[in-house]
Amino acid sequence: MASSAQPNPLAPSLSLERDATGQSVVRVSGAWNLRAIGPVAPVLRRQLAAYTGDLQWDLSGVTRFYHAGAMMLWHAWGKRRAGQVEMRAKHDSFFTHIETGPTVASRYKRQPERRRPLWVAGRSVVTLGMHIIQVVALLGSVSLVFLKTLRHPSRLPWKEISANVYRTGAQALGITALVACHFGLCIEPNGESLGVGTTNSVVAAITIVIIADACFTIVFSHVGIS
Amino acid sequence: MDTTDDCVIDIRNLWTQFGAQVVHRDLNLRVYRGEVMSLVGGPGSGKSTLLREMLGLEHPTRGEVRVFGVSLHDGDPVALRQLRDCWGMLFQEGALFSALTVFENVALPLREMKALDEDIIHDLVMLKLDMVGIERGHASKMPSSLSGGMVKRIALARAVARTGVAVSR
Repeated sequence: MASSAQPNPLAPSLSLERDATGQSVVRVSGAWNLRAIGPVAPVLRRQLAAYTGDLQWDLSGVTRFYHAGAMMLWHAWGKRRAGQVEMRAKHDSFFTHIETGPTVASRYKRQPERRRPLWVAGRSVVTLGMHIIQVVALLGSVSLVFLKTLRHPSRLPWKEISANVYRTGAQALGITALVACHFGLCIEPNGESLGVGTTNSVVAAITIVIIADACFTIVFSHVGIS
Repeated sequence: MDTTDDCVIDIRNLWTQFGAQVVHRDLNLRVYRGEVMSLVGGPGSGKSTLLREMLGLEHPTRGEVRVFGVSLHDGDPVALRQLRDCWGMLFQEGALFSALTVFENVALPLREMKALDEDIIHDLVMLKLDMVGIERGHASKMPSSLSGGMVKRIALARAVARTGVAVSR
């Protein structure tokens, strides 16, 4: 029943042997910290589950030890010390810590499952209410600004609006021409081939859009910009 | 005490330079197993930079940083990733996940390893919380309902959940 041998001397390993008196001894060796346990955890779990009954445990071959390893052995022993255990004093302190710790007491539960739907529904109602309040507040705020604008239209920043439209128009000339080119391609009535008709429609669309954009820009430059 | 086995962090001839500004000039530092070390210095003196270099998040201009005997800056990302399992990081503000309970925050690094049964993880988390002086009654609480000191303690429990080595900033 001896376990598979581990090629890496640092890897945690278990092996069942018989001593001179014929007593079964589980020899625990290697590093028993979480990093070392990780890659071979399924193997160790299977072995630990198989090693039941009146066994002697020898942990003197353990090179590194930490709570994760101690807890694995603790659980394999039935959440108590095994009857016969041999280990180093510094490793014993981990088990002492576990024995005196709070682990065997009450179990942690996040929320009883039966309350979850009610809790979710309640939170949804509250969230919906908060959203309604925020929407009403936003609409009220917009309405007040709108009314104020209607009552005093002269206070609107016309010049700034005009400047922005002018700047946008001037900057957008290139991209507008490009979009117009695509429009021209799309609206070409016989679009299956790029013939004379296509070229005409592209040129026409670009010309129209550029003229419109230029007119728009010129108008706004005279209206708003000093 | 001056043995390689006991030396966890070994910094040799470290130079860190940002443009013309030299932050670390030929720095040599060793941190041994079981040792608690604090870095004290004024703003901009390079404390955080040194920590980031110790964690392999930043490269020094010159010199070498070895943690557990492994060089952090020799360009082997696999080795660095494996090495990062050996330490935990404790952030100044705790940096707990606000959507997770205290228990789930501490359990997260253990669950990430996918090596332990849920029963063992439960007991390990309770043990770690006990080690930092947090009563088990707080395990189901959300971080928003905790005091600053408790957040720090729980962050410490999370940092040492996998390993006993914690780096704090």
